Amino acid sequence: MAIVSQESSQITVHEPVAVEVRNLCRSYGETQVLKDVSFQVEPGEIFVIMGPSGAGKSVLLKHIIGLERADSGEILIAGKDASSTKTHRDIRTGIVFQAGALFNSMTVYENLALYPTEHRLYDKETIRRKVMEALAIVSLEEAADKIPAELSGGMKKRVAVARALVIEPQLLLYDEPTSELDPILAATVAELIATVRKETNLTSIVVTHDTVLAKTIGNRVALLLDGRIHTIATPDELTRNDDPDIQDFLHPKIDLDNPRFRRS
Amino acid sequence: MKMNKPLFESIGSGVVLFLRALYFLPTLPRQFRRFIEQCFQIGYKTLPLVAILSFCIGAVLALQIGYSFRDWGTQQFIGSIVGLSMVRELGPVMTAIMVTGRVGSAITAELASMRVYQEVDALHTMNIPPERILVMPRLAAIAVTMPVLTITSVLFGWFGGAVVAQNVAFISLDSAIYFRSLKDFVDTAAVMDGLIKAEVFGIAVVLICCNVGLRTTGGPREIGFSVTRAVVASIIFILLLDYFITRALL
Repeated sequence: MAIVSQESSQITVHEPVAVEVRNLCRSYGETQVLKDVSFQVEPGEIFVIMGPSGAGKSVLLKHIIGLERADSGEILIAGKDASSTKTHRDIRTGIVFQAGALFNSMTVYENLALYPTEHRLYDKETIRRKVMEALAIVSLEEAADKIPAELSGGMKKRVAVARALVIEPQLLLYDEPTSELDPILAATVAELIATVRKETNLTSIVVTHDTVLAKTIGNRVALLLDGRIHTIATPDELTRNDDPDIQDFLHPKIDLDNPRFRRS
Repeated sequence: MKMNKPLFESIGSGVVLFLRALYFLPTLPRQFRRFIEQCFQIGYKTLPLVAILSFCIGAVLALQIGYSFRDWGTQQFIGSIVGLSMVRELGPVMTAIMVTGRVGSAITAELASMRVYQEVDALHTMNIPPERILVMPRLAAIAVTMPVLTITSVLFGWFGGAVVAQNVAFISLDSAIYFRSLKDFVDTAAVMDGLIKAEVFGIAVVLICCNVGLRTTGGPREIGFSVTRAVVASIIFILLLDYFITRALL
């Protein structure tokens, strides 16, 4: 995958930010999805939140980006309240949604150019250069005039990453970036996340249930089980940890004689 | 009271949506391309439908009045009755209902699918208020195109009536007499009343359809439900508003 060097890059590098989640709780009706979740993410770090489906990972991400309000607890981005719109105006935050969430009525170019155009950040020519630069990072320059419906699943994911890059974020969140991708494409996206972090020095929070991705790119990994943070560790520490819950998640044993869904 | 909660919530969110869209109105020059696109979709593409239906409504109205008046020798009033009915009532109401069916349903479907497939969330995360690029250009477009559509509806309705009045054997009313009678009764105030109504209906329809679309949650099935809900709510609202505006303007 073609990566443009930082010296020639049109993508402006901003100061990375720290994220702090304090005692976050969130319920939907009777179901408590997040239970007293607390952790800290250092500036410039790739922090992976890993856990099984339905553990509350995506909900947690929506709280960080300000799309959801917590019942109690707080999230601070660079010391500012993440639930406030002003915080997200002051600090550039981007998110790569699980399904891409590309604007289907716009071309790929228009999808990428929307943020700088609407916020009048640059003149037209600069925006064009930055958009093409972001598309070059994900090797999709030739798709600029296509609409999202003409793209494959993997291409949509890469466009979503490129769209987030054009925001020139200080904090970039990825929601299940490798889900629904074949192993080669999943590896490509993993390389992309690591390279983006390296070249732009932004803070990344990756939500995934892909253990290979988590262990490969994460500086630290948090395991979210049943709405609670079970463990926060480096990938090596996590692999060495002999806690049965962690080992069961990292190396699930397929038992055909005693399937999980029939266990009480 | 509990049953009315969703209704009050919808009304409340509709009012907030309207106020927020108004707040972003000064940014219209920056949204000019979207505004023109919406004028094309809402106005230009609806024009043929409005013209054909209004022509038919005017024709049928003239036919009914001509048939009812055939023994009384009062057929010279067909022009005035068709003229006033179209300009005060049928033009604005039928145009609004056609806009609901053709434009409102499409708006709700588009915004609901944007909501369901997280495009609206993506806008929020980019600090781009959906009201600014999704709602305000549509409201501005309907405000500009609704009077044009209504005038088209009224004119085609009048001509539909004239064609029938002249060519149907048991009416046989000369077009000159038809239009003279129409001119005697239709004054500027009647035209303005009709246009005011049409403007209010148009804005209400687009607002309701945007609001229902942006409040959609769930999946593809809910998008369908939202479209139905928006169309039904719009038509009921048009008819309710029609009564109150008519009372106010009389």
